[in-house]
Amino acid sequence: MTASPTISPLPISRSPGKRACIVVAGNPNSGKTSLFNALTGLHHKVANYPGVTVERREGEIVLPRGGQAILIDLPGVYSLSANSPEEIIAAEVLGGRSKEISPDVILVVLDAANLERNLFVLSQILDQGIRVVVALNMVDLASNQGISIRPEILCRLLRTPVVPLVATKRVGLLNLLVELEKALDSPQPSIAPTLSPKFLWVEDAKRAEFLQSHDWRQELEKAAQNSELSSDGLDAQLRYQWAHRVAVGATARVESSPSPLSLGIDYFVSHQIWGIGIFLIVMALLFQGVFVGAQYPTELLEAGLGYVAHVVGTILPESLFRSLIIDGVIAGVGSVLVFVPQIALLFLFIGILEETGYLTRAALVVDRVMRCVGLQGRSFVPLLSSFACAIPGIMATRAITSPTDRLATIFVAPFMSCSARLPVYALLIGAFIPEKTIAGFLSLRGIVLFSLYVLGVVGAGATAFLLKRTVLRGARSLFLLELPRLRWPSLHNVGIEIFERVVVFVKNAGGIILAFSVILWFLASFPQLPPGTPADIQIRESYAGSLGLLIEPLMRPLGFGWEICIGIIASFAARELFVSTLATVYRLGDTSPDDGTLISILQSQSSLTLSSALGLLVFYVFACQCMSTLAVCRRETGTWRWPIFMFTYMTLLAYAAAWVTVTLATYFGI
Amino acid sequence: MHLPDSCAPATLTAPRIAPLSSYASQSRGTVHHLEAPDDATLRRLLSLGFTRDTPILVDHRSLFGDLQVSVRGSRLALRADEAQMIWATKIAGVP
Repeated sequence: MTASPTISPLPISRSPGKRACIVVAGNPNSGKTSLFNALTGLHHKVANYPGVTVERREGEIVLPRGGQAILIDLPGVYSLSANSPEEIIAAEVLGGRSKEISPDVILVVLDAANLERNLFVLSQILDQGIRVVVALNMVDLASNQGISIRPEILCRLLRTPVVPLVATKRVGLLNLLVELEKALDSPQPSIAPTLSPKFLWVEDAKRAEFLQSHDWRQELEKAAQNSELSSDGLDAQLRYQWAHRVAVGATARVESSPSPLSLGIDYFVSHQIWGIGIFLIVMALLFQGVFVGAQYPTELLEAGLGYVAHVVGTILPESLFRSLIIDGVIAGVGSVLVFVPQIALLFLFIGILEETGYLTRAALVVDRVMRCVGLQGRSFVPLLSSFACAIPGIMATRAITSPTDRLATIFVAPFMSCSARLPVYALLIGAFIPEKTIAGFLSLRGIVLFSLYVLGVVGAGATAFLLKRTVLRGARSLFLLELPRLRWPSLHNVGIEIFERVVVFVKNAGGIILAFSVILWFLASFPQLPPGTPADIQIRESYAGSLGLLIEPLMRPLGFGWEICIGIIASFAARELFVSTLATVYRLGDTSPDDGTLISILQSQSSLTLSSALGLLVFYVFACQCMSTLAVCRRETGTWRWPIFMFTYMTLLAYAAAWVTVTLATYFGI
Repeated sequence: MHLPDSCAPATLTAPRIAPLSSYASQSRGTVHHLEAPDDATLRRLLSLGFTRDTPILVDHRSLFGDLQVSVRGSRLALRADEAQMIWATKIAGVP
């Protein structure tokens, strides 16, 4: 059912040929992104707002009569009083002050089960005088809670089209598109200004006169002087009075409260003590799941890439070009691509946790722990994102309003073991940690992987503690977290998130890593020694070998040979290059008759022992080997001082921690 | 001394205005005023619905004094020091 107000049509003001721009706005957790995903599917791109690093999702939609429009997903806001950079962006766009985005229609998403609170920001959007279409989302969840909203009454009260829908189930989308198209053809704001909540405090009879002769803000301040409230307080009071009246007027019945099961689960997962235990179990299962679940798809991919290399090897004659394709391109890029299953699984689990509403509870339970190190619960989501990649994690710190908390979170974000470290961990664990089970079901390799992630978290905590007690002292900021209701995850949304992140990873592999693989192949293949020289001598005498030999003395206390040193140097550009570099170096220098996997080559030919492999793993936990992270840190902090400090601190820490690990492992005879 | 029916002890009937941080689990009250340290915090609290006379239910109070409250249909988590900014009138007869 759709409800539309009766508005007299006026001429279209859009210039011919220009695509209409529709922005999606609303409260956080109102289902904005679900609706955006449902409308655009995979036809969207993720970029940044110009000049800032707030993520901007933009897609195309086709309207029922064939017209096209650009759909932009704005950050979720509770009001247009901007606090964080995300809110500033949203407030600028919705307030008509953005130079980049000029919306033709604002699609406001309201959570049907939480109408009153969601109407607050709508009241501010309506004040802007831009055409609005309301998507009344999650009507199914509202119905389960005994809340039934009558869209036709809501439409009448708001004087704007209202479309009830369930974005996650793709119900009501066609009606929404029809209303959006109608709104685009109607250039005037779809609300009569006298009904705007900002005029609620003016007596009915005086509204028309007031509209013509007064500045409402001035009037509000005058009125506030005569009351106990500040002008902000009076403004909010009036808007909520309006929201309450609209919500009550449009709601048919309110019968039940959340289910006891949901309340019970919520009690335990957000409990300050049980919640921490549940959080640790969930995280341990997540990393076990990533490692164990990705095993077979990874092996399948490895076999496929081996087959491709074999086919190319039989087609191309023995030449430098053949070596470039097999040892450079296929070995380099292929060695990274095989980790796609692990990255996809990581995002699958993170996506499910986010969709169910658990991540917010996790932020709540870790808040007290994070406060111990000087951070806050709001730092949790950026840090969790950093497990995938530090770059979006650092960008996500923009939601933290306190500058010192934000800087501390940016600084420790690269300590979280990102997806680029995962190939390195997987390779070294696969090669050096025996395949054993503990207590009958826990994989030793999974435990080691989990320990590396924990080590990163501990390093981050200790560093944040130091920073917040020295250079980043500051007052604590507001935490105040909304707890979204627990619900079943939308696999459609999770699928789109996995697709987006895997595409970003593969694009990087295809771009940066391909280029580096070719450069490394060149460095490892030249200067060419006389024909008949053994391959291992050729690689040792190459430019890459010379570079590795140059820094080998520095790395000798850690037990890293010159081939590993080449990998470490290469991975300062990007960590995942370590794997492709070793693949290139070892395949070029491989004198064994069979075409073993990189893991078996590493086991049989590398200079690493179990203790030095553990040292190398610890080195990778702490070393800041990512130029992109340093560049984003520079952009976010506005100075080179922080990225230089970050790089120096993390590199020294990595070296020291690796040395301690190797020394202890050797002492205990590991 | 005998008290007339209309004169109940003052502690039971007089409205008690106290910061939310002093509320126990399952307590109810209505917002009286906010004591925010700055305008940004004040606006954030207002936008989340903490306006005058808004009913609040304390769903859960942790051992450390942090609260989970229901306000205008949503559940919010507040640190103990944040709950101290919200002064509410306690509804009599509930914990």
